[in-house]
Amino acid sequence: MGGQDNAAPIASDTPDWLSSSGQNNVAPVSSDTPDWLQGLEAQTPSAPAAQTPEPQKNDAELGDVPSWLKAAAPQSSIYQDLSVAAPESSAQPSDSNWLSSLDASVTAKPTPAPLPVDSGLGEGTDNLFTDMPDWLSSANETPPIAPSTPEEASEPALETGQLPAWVQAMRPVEAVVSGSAPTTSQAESRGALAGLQSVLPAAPNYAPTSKPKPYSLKLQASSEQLSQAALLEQIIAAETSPVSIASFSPLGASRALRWILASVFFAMAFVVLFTRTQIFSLPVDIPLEVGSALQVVQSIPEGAPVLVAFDYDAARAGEMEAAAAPVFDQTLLLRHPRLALISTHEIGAMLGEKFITGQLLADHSYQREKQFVNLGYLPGGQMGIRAFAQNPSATTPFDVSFNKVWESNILKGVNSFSQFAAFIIVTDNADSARAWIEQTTFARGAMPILVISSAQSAPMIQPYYASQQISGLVSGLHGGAIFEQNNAGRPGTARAYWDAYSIGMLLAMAFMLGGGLWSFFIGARERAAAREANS
Amino acid sequence: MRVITAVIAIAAGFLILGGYFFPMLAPVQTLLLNWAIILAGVATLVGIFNLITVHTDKIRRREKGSAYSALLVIGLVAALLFGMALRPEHEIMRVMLNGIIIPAEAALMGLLTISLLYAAIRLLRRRADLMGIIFLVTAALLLLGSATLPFGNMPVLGTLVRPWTTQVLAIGGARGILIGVALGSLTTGLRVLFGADRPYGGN
Amino acid sequence: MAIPLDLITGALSFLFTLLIFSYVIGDNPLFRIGVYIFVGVSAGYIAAIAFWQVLMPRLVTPLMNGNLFMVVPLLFAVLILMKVSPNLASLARFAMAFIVGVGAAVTIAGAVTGTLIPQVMGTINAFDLNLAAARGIPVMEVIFNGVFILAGTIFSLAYFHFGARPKADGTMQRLSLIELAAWIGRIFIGITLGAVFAGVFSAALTAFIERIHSLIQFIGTFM
Repeated sequence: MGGQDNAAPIASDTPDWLSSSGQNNVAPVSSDTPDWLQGLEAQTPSAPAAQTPEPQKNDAELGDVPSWLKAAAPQSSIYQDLSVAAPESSAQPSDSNWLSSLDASVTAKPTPAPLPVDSGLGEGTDNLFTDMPDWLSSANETPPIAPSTPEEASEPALETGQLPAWVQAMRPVEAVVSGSAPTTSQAESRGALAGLQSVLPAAPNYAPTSKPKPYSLKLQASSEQLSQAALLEQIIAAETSPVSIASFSPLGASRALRWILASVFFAMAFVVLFTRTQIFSLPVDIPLEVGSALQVVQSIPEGAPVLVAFDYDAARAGEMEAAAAPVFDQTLLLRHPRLALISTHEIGAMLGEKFITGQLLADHSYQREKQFVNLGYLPGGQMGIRAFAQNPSATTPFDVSFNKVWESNILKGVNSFSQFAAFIIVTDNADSARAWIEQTTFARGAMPILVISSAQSAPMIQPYYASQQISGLVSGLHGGAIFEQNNAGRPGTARAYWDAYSIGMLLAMAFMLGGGLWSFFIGARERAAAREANS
Repeated sequence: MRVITAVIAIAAGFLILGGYFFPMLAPVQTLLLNWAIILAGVATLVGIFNLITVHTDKIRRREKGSAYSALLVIGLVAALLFGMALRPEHEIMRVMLNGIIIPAEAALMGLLTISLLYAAIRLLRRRADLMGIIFLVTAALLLLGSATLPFGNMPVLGTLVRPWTTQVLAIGGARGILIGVALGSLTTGLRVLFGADRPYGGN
Repeated sequence: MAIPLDLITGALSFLFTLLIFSYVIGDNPLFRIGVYIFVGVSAGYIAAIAFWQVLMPRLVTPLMNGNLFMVVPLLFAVLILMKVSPNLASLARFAMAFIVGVGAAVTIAGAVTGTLIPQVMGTINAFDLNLAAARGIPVMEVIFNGVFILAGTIFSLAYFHFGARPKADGTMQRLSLIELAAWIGRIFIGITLGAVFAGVFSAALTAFIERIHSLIQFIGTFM
């Protein structure tokens, strides 16, 4: 429910990256394809794009496929949804095979998985059957295609779930639209999140159970595009192809393993936190980025206005507060800044206010409209940030209580973004940090930027520190623990959590290496057994 | 409709881009961006309306699990009514935030500890290739390097391997990914501005 | 006697943490109750924020003050609201087109000036001896690290290069040099993803510890 997801519902039903590719490679229904053929395509939802036949004059031609069509068929299979990527046998089908799949679908054979369809493609289909030749009328009268069962559809969905993150990151449209425009992923139809878009599936093997929608696709790709796409398909296939295992008893083993892991971690955390042990040393070395963060804090002028973006989920509030507490403790203690809170996450500004006025910083007694203002939620992702950076007072004229904050004592003298003395980004999301850094490039002048991040986003934020676009970085409990030791001997949350954290990390490493080694040998044995069984 | 939507997208995009280069267009840029901000907020409401619709339909049809949907709708309506009447910064709303939203979401995140570890253990059973092994070994070494011992940092791992991996090796890969994403954003954005891509529909 | 809000908050927090943690014994009704209520309350809370912190200050108040510029977003907002009606949903495309056009332009500018150029320069500046001296890093270390950063950046990018030529047998193959670079790129990307995974696990473990800590603290208030 990040700010970037705001606009999701207004998109069409097709995932944006898929719809865009469709738009690149798919001709409009009404452009090149004759009406009577669109009718046929509309009845063959299981036929992948490449299997859609070119215009044919009569049924006799179905058995007499021209050579150019033979060459086109296998290559174009990559334009299917990756989740329904066919096995090798179908990736290089013979002419009869790929045509037979068309026949099969016409005769109402259950389809492997539905392909999302752009709502725009369906336009103009009302008259599709008016000009249909007689010989095709039977195809039009075939009974409706049986809806695919969850079991049938689950395998392709599982393949989608296995796509590595870097493949997902390659979807170009998503990169553009994220945070700035509505995403167009399909809405969740099960569970508590039913009706929302851009959410993880309710269950690992979840797949839509609705009747596959008809679609019409026609390729318009050059040979070079096809060849490059074929290579991409080969690379992706190596990542996503399932390995068949001869003997496998996942349920019993997985449940036992889960219970062991849960028992160990719960017992460890309860014992260590209840006894309040402080045996383990806090990390002693100061990394460059944390040292720079200390310098930024010490360089803030006394009582200066400081902008703080609280861009994190409630899920990581514990980690973010533990990392940020020593930084803010030192800043508020030494510099008494006037703070302006803002967030591109819906509840981020409220989380920020909870943090500033909460127990961790209670010593400083900061209060809204006295020492800080809360500018609230800034929607629109990158668009909102750009607008704010260009003209803060026009973009957020009021605080959360409808006060005209730019005329107040707290923001007195701040007429532009660069007039803040410093900018602190508290975020659990590398994309959010990237958006703030990118969109304030022109507006911030020499203002230092300090990022306090979750451990999970630090690897993708680190390059911005290396390129000197940000002035300091404190990440996760580890970073917070280091900063805490340089906070005039004031112990904080990181010290309270550190023993449990260190033991948890050691346990995780032991489980990961030991279990990984065990899994490696078990998997190798199973694959060898499978090979023997196949041979 | 297709032409009009394309014209709207292209015109808005070029006016925004123009604002970066021509100061006289800056006020127009600000105005358009503020309009977009408002629309993003409206879109949030549409999504929530859709959530209500789906779950009330489930309740009306008495589908399996409709009792849970009823709980969802009750929670939503209660939070909405209190929020509209009292505003989000009111004490009652803070109780909802601190008593329900934060604990539930943080606990779900905490459960990931078990799930992630489980997935990591099983990884090499399903795929034992170079990428998988490097991935797992790196993760294990960084976990070990993040922990400390009673007398200080983990020798070698905490003082040398972890800092060098995160500050040198991982930066190389991360920078490659960031540049790749930026290039992808650039080309796709240009395709939208030139009307070659129309993710808003209309092709 | 009024019950203090802090106690209610603590009790709710304790209850919902237990409801969600009950998932460790498997999917069960308690877990579902917790999740459904959480989603509902979150959605209601967000809707209230969207109204009070976006629509009221940015749309309704300016309109009431006679700002005619806000008529356009009002019109677009109405079109977006059409999305809830299947018959009128296509009208939302006008507003969609506007958002996509604005978003594309903002993203282009941000990507070029905020990431593309600075990160390329950062890769070059990894060999900047003056900067290293300012940070107190030895020269040899700068060159050594710079080589790895440069190699990681180039090889990772090569991994995403999909240009290929057809071989004699009709199969597609990248250039051998690109293939080799991409193979090395896999190593760097594997390391980066391993680092990200370690970070995600670290974040999850911290959340787990924080929740257990809150449970113990709540119990402690009665002891």
